[in-house]
Amino acid sequence: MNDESSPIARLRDYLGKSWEAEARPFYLLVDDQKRVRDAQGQAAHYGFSGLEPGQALTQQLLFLEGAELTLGKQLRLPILSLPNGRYAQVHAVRLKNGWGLAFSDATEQHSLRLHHQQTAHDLALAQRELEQRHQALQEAMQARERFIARMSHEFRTPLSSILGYADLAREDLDDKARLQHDIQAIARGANYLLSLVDNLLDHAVLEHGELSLHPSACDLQLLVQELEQLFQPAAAQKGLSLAWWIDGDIPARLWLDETRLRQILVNLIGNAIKFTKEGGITVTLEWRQGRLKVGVEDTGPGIAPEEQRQLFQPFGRGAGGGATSGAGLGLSICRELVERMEGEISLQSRRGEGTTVAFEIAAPERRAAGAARPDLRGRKVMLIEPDPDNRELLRLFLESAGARLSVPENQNQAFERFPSDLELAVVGLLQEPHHRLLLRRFKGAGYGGPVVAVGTQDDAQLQKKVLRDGYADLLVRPLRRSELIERLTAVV
Amino acid sequence: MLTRKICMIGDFAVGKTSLVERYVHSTFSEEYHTTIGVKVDSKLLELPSGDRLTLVLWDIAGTDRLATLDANYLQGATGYLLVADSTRRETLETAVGLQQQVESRLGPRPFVLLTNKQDLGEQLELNPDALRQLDSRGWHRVPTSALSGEGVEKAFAQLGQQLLAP
Repeated sequence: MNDESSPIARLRDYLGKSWEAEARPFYLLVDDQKRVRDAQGQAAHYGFSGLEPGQALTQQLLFLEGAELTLGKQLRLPILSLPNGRYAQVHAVRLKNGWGLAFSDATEQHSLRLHHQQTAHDLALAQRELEQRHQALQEAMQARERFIARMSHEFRTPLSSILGYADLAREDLDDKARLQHDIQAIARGANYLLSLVDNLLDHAVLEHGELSLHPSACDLQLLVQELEQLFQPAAAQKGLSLAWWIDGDIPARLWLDETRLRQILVNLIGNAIKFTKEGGITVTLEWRQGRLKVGVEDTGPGIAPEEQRQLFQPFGRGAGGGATSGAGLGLSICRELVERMEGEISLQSRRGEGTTVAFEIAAPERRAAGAARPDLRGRKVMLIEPDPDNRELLRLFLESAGARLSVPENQNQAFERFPSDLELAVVGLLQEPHHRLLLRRFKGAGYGGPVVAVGTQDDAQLQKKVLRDGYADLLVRPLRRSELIERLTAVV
Repeated sequence: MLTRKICMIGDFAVGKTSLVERYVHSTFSEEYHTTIGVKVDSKLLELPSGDRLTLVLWDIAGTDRLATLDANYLQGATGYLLVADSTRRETLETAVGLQQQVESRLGPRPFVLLTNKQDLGEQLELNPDALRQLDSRGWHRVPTSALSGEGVEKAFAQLGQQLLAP
């Protein structure tokens, strides 16, 4: 077995030499002062060249500093970075009068560890990022849940009121005064619901797309009357005054998007009434050189400066808004709308002294050919609207404007007895491609006049498309009577 | 001449190697080289008191858990520099965790917390409340920048003084 020429011995020698070629071992004995006692192996590979007995290696063996080992105990450094740029695995054993050290090459271990560490590092970074995203997602979901809960509450309140007053109205049919009161309450609830839905939709449109403006000639006096009727009951109910200061120089007609202006004012006045407990609200309107300046001032609790900054952000309600209703979208939408109307909005407030929100928008004077209210007197108008309630509402609006109406219940009926003197067609907007097919049917019937579509989606791209397809205009529900007649008059 | 082993401890990429390079060789490299294993350097520290001390600096691979660190690297350390990256909030949490682990392994040892990368002013994101809390626990803290050298000498000197304190 001990025969040096036996196969096993030859194998051992072969593998031993092979290991030595790879590991490049170096053995070193030093005394307690780190002076060389003896050395063997590939010293130069580890930066120990020209070693002499007695030579001090304090600087090269810094890693032994502080290693207070007991006799026979080992210090093992798997990867030591050496001054010559190489990497060594070091075993150091404490001897009676010094140290015994064995160095072997650790280049491969270093490469493997480097790869492993870089992978682990990348993974750790990726994991941290995932955790951060996860947390952000959770926060967003919580915000969404809070928002849905708040919205459910917001919708339930006016809906309960509408349903309650509708029940009462059935009982009050013979009492005109009470019936009127019930209907007003229903209208208030519906208006509030409408403003909520408008705000939510507008927020989505402003976030994801383009919100289009539809300027028309606006009678500011009429708008003020309407808002006065809308808000006076709510103000009176809280014992608040609602005053209007209207500049006498405001032209009879201003060219602006009346629906959007109403939306801004409904939000601002609604907020002022909501947050004011005593005193009142003053709305001022001034007009100078084609610009309308509006101020809504209240005697409410005021808003702290740090909260004021958030108010124009979506869902940014001040601390005072925590217990009151609303989605926290109103002011952010107002800001967007005002900016789109080439204007600016600002808020001034001091704790305990009330709040004033002021804005200014482009509103050039509209000099109408005649100052008379637009109407459709004597005009032959066909109305094609599939929804019976909307059809009835539009019929009433058109009739009150003096139109001679043809109101078929469906398309087939419309074209079976097509009026030869038709001057205007108003149709509920159909899905593609039916809206284009409908235009073709009009042409086929020999009608070349304007066709106006009424839709529910306020979208600039849709507007462009519908006009390109051949419609004269696209009106968006909910429609006010004045806006409907104004827009229709413009195309006839 | 007194000689003391001190270790650089902290999360990945907080700047431990750069701090040693700045302190020992007065150099700085923008390139990031992850440290594998350990690199040992030394520097003679002269304190205002006139005391002289050789610091043997063990620059150890970054880690967020001491369990992954070879016990041999810490053996014989008389103190340590705990390094956090001022632009990464979580590295301070790692440093606090590592400090507890080092203390449980070595027992109480002097240390200084270095909040590194102060040169990245706009991106600093360490929580001031968390830092104040560490201050109130008596931690020595030095804001540093291996790039500009800010606070580096001060941090090592402060640890050196603690090492020589009676």
